[in-house]
Amino acid sequence: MSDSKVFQPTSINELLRTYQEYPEALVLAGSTAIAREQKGDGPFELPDMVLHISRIPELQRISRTERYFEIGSCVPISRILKVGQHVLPKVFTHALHNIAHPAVRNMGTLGGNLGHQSRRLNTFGPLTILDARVELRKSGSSRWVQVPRLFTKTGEPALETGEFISRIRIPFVDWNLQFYQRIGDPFTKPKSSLTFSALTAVEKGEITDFRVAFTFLGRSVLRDRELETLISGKKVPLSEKMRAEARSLFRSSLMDLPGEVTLFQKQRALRLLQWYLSALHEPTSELFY
Amino acid sequence: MENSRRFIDEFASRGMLHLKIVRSDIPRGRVSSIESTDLPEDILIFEANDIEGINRVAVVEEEMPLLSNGNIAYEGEPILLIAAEDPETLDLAERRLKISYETDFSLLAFEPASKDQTVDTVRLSRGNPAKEFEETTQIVEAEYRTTIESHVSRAPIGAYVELQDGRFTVYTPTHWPFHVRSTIAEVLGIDESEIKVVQTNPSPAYGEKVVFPSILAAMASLVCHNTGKAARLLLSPKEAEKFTTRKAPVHVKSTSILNEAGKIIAHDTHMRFDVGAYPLFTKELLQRAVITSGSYYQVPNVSITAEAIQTSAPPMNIYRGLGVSQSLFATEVHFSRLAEFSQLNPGDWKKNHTKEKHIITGAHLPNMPLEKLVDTVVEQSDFYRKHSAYEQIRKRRNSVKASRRFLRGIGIATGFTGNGFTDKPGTNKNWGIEATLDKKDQLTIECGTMTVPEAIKTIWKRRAGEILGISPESVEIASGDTDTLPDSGPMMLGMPVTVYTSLVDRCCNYIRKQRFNKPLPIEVRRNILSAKRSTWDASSFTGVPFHSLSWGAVVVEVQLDPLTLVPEVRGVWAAFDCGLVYNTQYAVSIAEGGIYEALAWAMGEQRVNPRYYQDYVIEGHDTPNLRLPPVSVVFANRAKGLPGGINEISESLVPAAFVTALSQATGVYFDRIPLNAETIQSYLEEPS
Amino acid sequence: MKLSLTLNGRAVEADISTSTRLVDFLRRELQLQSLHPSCYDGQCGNCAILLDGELVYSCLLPGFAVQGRSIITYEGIIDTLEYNDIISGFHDEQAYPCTYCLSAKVVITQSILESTLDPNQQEVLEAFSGTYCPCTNFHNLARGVIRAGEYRRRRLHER
Repeated sequence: MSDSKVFQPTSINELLRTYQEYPEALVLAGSTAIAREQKGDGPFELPDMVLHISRIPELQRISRTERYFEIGSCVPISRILKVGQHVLPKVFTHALHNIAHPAVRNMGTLGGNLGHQSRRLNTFGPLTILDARVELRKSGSSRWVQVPRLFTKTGEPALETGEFISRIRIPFVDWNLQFYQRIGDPFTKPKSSLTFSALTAVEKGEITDFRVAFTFLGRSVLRDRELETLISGKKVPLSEKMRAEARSLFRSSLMDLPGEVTLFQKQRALRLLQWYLSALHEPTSELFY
Repeated sequence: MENSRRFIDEFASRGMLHLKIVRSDIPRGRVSSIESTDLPEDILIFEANDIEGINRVAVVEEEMPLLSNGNIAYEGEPILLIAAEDPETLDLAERRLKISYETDFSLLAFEPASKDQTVDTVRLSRGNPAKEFEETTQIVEAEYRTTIESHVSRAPIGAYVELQDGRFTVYTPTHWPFHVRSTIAEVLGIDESEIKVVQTNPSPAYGEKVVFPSILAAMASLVCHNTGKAARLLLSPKEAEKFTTRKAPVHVKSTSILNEAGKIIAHDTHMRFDVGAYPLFTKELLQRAVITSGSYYQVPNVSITAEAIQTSAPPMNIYRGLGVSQSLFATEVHFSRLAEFSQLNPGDWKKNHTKEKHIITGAHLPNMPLEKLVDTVVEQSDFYRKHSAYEQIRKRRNSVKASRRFLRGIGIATGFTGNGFTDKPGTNKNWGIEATLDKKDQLTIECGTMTVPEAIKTIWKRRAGEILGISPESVEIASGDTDTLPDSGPMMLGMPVTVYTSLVDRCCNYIRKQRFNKPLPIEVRRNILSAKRSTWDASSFTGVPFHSLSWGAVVVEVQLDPLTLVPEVRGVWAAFDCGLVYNTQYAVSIAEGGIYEALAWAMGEQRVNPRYYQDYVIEGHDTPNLRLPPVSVVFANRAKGLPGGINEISESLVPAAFVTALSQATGVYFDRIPLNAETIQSYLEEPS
Repeated sequence: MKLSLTLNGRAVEADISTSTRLVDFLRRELQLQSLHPSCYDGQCGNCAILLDGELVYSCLLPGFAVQGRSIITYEGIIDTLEYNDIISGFHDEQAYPCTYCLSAKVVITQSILESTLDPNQQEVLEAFSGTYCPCTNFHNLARGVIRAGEYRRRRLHER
């Protein structure tokens, strides 16, 4: 096997230059995802050009303002948890905790988790409903996009040639009900793995904002805006009629998902949503079943 | 470092040949041609025709070819060996080899299988079950299934062979070094005296180190023999997972009749094991399955049959426990169901069956510990209260939809496993242990399988010290190889802890008696007695079938998330009687390892690790909760006697208790493992 | 490509193919026999190392990713007093890892104790949640690590 050419830029300018010159290069940071994709005990199968970007200080920064938290794309997951555990939204930190185990979280980066080409991993759902924005840079330009815009409607990467994720900005908004659950390992059991993320703001018994997202096998993501509109503005607890309406709306969105998502997974998602709707309440600190 | 502590991938020499097995990529057929043009230079190819001796690996009365003689019996069967000094060229060579096949053969399936796929059958019968079945209309019928289990993480397996002073010196992580030697001798057509086998570090292992090292060592020896060069063959982790040892799947049909008091009047069970393309140790597997399935339940009319079915799957080979965990799974799930039909609490129902203190083979065991073990786990787990509470909750429940109230259940399983072989496998060789007390009162114990775990060696030293009145530090377990150590047989089925320990005792007792009659040094050898000669009759299935029994009672409590259908184990309580336990905390540690492995098998996971669980608080807490199923293990405190195996019993009862608990939680009878969310859903959807 | 790094405190330079996994490079080229990759999928933990002080699994990294960085393996711990703390803690709590996974368990323990000398059970379970070998139960292991922390605290106080 012929050796790949590996570039290890140490500044963002060097990265921009190199990527412009070799836009076909594979961008690699923590390398955990690629290692888990390439099953087997052989050497890595790498393309001719590799851009290893884990030592660029600009991509390793975490900063915080009054309005948002900003994380460089190459910050390892464990460092985000260390720094942001108590200030970041729980729906996001729970998603980070559920990424594999400490050794993987010490290597894997947020950019890698969010931007994985063929799988929507743990942080995709939470960052979608948190309205996180992602900075994409390439030589001569930069732009901020919402998380779902990282991919096309069919789930293909939507980054332009020579473009890479540089920062992720997570706004601070008060969500008094947050929920995240992941089932199964998206690498070893992709067919039965899913994530469920939910955010609700309740004020004086009224839902002022409501967002949910599911991610399934591979590229399938479901965020149902109609459902969110339906629920927003309603009083908690939701009436039975309202829940039935919501269920039916969500059910039809689920059925429109591509065939790779099994009926079993869709049924699970529907049950989880039903439960979540029935559990919405005026925030307290009590255990809620 | 001692060879026995080094792993096989650490053995190498300059200029040695690296080997790779070229395997069939079809499951059944014949090799029609092999095209080997365009291969990289320096690649050597070896096929069955290059074998000067006999192309086989024989185990007792069964055998399999070392390299395919043209027939393909399973996908992955070794056809060729390729060798090169540069290991990287092997992959390239393998890709360029073109093997063509005739594939006009039908596969040998497990379900359904034809009659001529049955390679062996073992049957035990008492009374007249057929008559009872004819005369009743109230019967309980069920089928049970388990699937293949394989392990991902094991120590490397392979062999390194070199010529030293004209003899073959073989390094391999074997649990049966003398089998490695005899296999090589037969394959190369040379005398065993031309071969020395040195054991390398085998642990951790799941049974694959019993016969597979013989196969790999014979392959490496073939290359060394034909080229004069040192040769090393290592299986990749994926190869080892796929083609070495797996737990054989079983399909069990059970039919029973209960009387009004809830006692079993008649019971018929038929177990069919998928043993893959080449069965090994079949008789032993079937006998163990039959005996552990019959267990201690005193059934007047009983028929238990175990059948080995040959299929086109890769050989299952020898997996830890040889069929016992599968048989105990089916038996205990079935008997829990019977307990339920008889409207008795399963704990009481099981205790009712221990009264006569007999096991199925008729052996009377006055000290049968089961009642006490059941009492212990029942009390520790609060079984009675939970069982009846969960029963009531389930019966009151109308619908589980849209609520996140966990469905909870609790189950119990009991039984025994055997230590040592039922029969000494038919071999003309004596397996034994030697001991020498020298003039300085130093005792040296020689055991041919010197990779016996340190914990067991410590037990030997202690016991030998006690019998001879010397310090355990004066006892040495000799290291060596097949040139210097006696043939002690294979290290499997609880042999080291029970059988070898009893040989150490017997050697020491002899020395103690002779010590002041004879001048030192005193040398003694004691061989493994066939159990047959003493208390066991395999033809009629009567007597004490094993060297000793390990007993257990296990309770598992589960909860099922009604939304995701993911089961979570809330607790495992286990009580074991494995004879004399020297180091309780260490024994508990081994048992816990076995319990976690069994849970993984039952849930279709590769392992049970601490996992994050949401406690379904929608607000509030900082981190999700990291949990590991809590496990509590106690051992009956035996003051004397022999120690017994812990691994098998701790693994074998958990799956049945888990499945029974899940059945109680849901009100649906589950009858197979593994059970994951999808399989659970499919059961819940079935019209009952 | 040329690779330079610090391995167990010593500067090392070597040629490496860019597709080589770090574990294979360390084991085959640098003869670090304590690494026992068996899953190559980041699950068994038997190739654990400390990279710039952080626990990572060397099967998941390409060798070139450690250019200029510092690696500690079991071989770099075994001759230290820190190793004694760990083994004493394990021994006290009857945590006896098998010869296959001992090195990984020592490295993981070292990573825990480098972040805190007073770990709680959750922290230990968390650190070992990416391991597989069933030879030692988690509870003995957790107690062993906590005990090792005590040994190390005591030793550092006595200094």
